[in-house]
Amino acid sequence: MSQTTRTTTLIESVAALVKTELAPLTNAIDQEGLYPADFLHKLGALGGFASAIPKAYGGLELGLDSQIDITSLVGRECGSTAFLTWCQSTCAWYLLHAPNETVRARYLPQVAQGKLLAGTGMSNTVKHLAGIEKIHLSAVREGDGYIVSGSLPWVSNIGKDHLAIVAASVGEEGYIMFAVRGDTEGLSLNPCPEFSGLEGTQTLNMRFRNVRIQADDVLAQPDQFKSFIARIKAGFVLGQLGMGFGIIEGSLKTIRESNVTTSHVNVYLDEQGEDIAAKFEALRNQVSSLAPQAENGTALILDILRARANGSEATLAAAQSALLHAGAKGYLMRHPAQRRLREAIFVAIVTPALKHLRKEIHDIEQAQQAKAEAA
Amino acid sequence: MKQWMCGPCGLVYDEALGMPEHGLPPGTKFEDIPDDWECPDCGVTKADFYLIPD
Repeated sequence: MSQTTRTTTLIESVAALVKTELAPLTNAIDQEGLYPADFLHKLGALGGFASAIPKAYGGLELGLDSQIDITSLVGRECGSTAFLTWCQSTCAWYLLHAPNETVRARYLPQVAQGKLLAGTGMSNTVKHLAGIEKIHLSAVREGDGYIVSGSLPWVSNIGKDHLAIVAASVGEEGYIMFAVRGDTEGLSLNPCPEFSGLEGTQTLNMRFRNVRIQADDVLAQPDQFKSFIARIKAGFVLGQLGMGFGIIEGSLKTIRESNVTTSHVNVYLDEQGEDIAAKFEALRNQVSSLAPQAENGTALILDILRARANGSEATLAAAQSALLHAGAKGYLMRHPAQRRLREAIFVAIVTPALKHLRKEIHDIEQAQQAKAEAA
Repeated sequence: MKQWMCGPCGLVYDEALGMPEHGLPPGTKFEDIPDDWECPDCGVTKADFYLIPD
């Protein structure tokens, strides 16, 4: 079977699953905080987290672009579950590129197939490395492992029987990135204050009190950390665009529906459906060309950051336009347009947030300019 | 009486109100809270709180 045929088969299977198993839950996920564990396991069984993973580790080997398509397909129905799809597939991405073969072999097949659900708690570290905030977890060496303490305010897709992948500082040595199970001694998972959206993501506060991390749960040691982060960052950031694309497509659907009855007045809105669709197509094509580069490690991070920032802006514009097209009925809690707006804001505030992206882009551009002037 | 904000999660500690539900009576100054106290919402320490300007 050709790769194109396998990709089409996967997309059709996931689309059918979304329609039968996710669509009936969307309102409960958004308004009651339902965590769709069964859907995630079924999505995993279809290969919904494994497009960018080699067959040797239980993956489909269809590429990162295909994974972005899957996340988008889920996001077309539910942005919250698209975020979970990204969390799970991104943990698989981390494990795939981890220099430690032991941790990869232990967890990657289970995570890629959705048998072991996993959350990525890298927000604080990514912001710390961009000079935005201090790092919250610290580790000290003990034997060949580490003892970790500190708190991560909000980590999604975690639970007692889940895996989380996080990072900690190791004093002057640098940083480690490691996997930890939710039921590890010394680790407590606490509820967060209620969020205005994405409540169905099992987002919890992780508190580490002298948690022992074995060496074979470490994805990257301090001397490997810098190159490891450089290797995974492009895929981490680019993969999030699947959430935005799904919300944009869902918003375009609302615009088409709204125009059935009110196109004669919707025509006066600034952002028309065809404008949004054209920008979306251009961005989608750009991401399709960047995805293979992220996979083989040749992507320029500036291109990735710009695409991600453009994605946030396009998602916000599409969701706002959908609500304006729908009018007052879009303001009802049963209408998807108001949910889309909250989901779109999430795309622009989840790490890397739009303000974070603009800072990193600015910093890189400044450094490039200084280098050019010095040459 | 001053107000202090948790950097990571935005929780506000108001010295005038205290946090009786967390053992801090109204009027408890931030400097009098034990150093091992943790933000009830996100678990970070006092060092991650910032004074809110008037």
